Amino acid sequence: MSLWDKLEAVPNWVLYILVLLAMAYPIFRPLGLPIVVGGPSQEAYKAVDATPEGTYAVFHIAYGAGGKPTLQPAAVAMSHHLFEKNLKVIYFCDNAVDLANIWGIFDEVSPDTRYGKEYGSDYVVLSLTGPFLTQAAVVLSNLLETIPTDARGQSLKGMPMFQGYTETEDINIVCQLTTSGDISEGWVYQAVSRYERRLVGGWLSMMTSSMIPYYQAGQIQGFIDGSKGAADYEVLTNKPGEAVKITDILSLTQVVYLLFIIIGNVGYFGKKYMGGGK
Amino acid sequence: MSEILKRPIPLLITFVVGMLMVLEYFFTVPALTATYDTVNTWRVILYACVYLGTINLLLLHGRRVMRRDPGQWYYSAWLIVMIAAYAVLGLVWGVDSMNYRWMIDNVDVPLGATMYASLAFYMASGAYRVMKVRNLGTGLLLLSAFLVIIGNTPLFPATWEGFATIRNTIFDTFVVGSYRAIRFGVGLGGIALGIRTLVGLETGYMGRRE
Amino acid sequence: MAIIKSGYVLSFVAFILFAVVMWVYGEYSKRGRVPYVKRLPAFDAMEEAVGRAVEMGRPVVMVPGRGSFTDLFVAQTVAGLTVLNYVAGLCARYGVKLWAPMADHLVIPVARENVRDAYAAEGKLDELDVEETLPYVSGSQFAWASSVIGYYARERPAANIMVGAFWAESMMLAESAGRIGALQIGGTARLYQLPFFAAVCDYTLLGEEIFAASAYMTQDPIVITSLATTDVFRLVGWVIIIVGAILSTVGINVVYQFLSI
Repeated sequence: MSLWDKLEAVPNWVLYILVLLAMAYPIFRPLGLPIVVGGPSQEAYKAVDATPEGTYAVFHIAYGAGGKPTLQPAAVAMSHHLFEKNLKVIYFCDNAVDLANIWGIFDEVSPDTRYGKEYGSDYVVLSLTGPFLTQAAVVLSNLLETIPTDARGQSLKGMPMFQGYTETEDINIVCQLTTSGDISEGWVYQAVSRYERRLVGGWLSMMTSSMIPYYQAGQIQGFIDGSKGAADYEVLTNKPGEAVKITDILSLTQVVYLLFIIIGNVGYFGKKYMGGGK
Repeated sequence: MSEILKRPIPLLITFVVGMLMVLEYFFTVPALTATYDTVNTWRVILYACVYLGTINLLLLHGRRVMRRDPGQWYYSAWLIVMIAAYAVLGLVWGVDSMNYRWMIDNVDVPLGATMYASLAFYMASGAYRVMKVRNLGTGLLLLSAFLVIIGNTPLFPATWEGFATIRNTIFDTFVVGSYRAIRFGVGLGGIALGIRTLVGLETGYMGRRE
Repeated sequence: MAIIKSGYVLSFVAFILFAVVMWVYGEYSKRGRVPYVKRLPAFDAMEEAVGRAVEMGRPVVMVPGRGSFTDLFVAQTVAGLTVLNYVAGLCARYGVKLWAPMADHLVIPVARENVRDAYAAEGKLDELDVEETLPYVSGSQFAWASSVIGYYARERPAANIMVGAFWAESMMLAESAGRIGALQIGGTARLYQLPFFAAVCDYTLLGEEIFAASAYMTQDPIVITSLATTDVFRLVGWVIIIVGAILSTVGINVVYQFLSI
């Protein structure tokens, strides 16, 4: 087997070990690479920052277990920001895994001790009621009539934060973090087209190219673009966390991908023009 | 009667409900909006059918356990045990309980995150295997992928901002442009499929074909 | 009070026109003037894929996606079921084992009915074990993906056909099946996953091409007219985009205002 054959046919296990090493190294020896905050993350931050105090923010968590490592840091950073702005935050999701994620956000943010917030007065988690499309319309239009309780079974109408609540008009901003394209696009239809609310999104990097038209059209105020966007938001809120640590891993891993592509092509062209072995 | 039930009645229901949804999208008639909201709320009932999947799982895997299918029956047995465990935890203690959360945090989340993380390895082997300059098209694909990866890697834009500018230019022109074109076509195709469904030309959803 | 919602007038008119143009083409097709449909290699390759499975004595995997009938991707799910019906017919005809993992409880009865019909049309209904052929695997994304990948590794199918709505698992499935050397045909209208299929699969259906499945496989003239209608509106869209872009560049926003009606 010639050198070109070997370069063109590197076994998968070798590739995987190199990727694993690239991921592991920064965990033990952080590289401390600088983070340049991107435009969309800044716009997302500004959109939340511009929200008047005391108004309602809807925060939809929909990244499940798979997206948690990427988007939970963003959820934590954004929650810090929402509580700092003294907004009344309505959290909701449509499955038990995301419900666990929401409780996990509170464990990290500690709104009660850090910001003096009280569950039921300043923030609430709605009960699980059904699929996203149905839920989104209900939350924005007919919340107290269609979702009578929170995730703990307590009546929403009896909660201090909903005294004087008058449905859609009181909701100033919708924040959503998801790994699903139908949810991120669905929010544009529901929150922006239908109910004309401001929308800030967050999703995986591979979804960005499909969601950018909505951002360019002004329908999405700003967005968090995967791990990098989450790191940006942590920097902007001055609360560096998991996402900032991940950027080192991101950098090194993607450099390794570039090397794989180069090696694959070197082997391909070497074999094509210099001849391969039998 | 069974012939009417099989085809004309489902088609009529599809047409009526479909037209209701279409008309509600365009018109501001309060009765239409109220009907639409009611139908949307009724959709939640469909989720009672989730038990259909669970029953099917229990039947399929129960059969494997009973037959002692070599190499599989113990996995099927474990699946049945886990279904029961989650059901008991959720029903007895509630999905908001510490016990249920413990299961989610220590079983679901690590497994889901592991599978998602494995994408990194699939991408690595996929990129190595597929990204080769075999012709002009693949060459352009490789070049744009290279520039976008460099722009996405935090290390490179921190060194020189031009990498981010190049990446944003590729995104804002070629990528978004082609996505918009495909999205436009998908929208038209979806409308065509929708109209075919409304008028009964498309019956794949009924599980029957002429 | 306006009856048509503000900003939706043009959309409504376009929707009506779409239906009218479709009807006009339908009338033409009844008189024998059926629009020409170009060959789509991916659809032609499905028979090749089943043939490959016959030669190798291995199963065919047909994945109709993970969509449901209650989400935004119902159109893709219907397209996937149409392809499932077609592939099931081929598998029944040639005596090849088919495996179609289900991910949504609402889709299961419809998919099974589709496959039963396909087998019955070939007179092979008694050879179909619907529980084994179309098992409900899991509603959870990665549990479902793990099961499918495990099937690839154990059974080493000769062909892997994926048409429908896919999420992150698309890359996993395509790469796993590619590694065992299966002939792959992939198609989805979910734009995030298209690049993975385009890069890894042998044949790809890009976006709206999956909606042409019904027309392509039945060759029904009335159904084909809907494809012709989308082409007409695509032409109209081109003209509006080009004219609008030029006029907007010189500061005339009449097209933008027209589209906002």
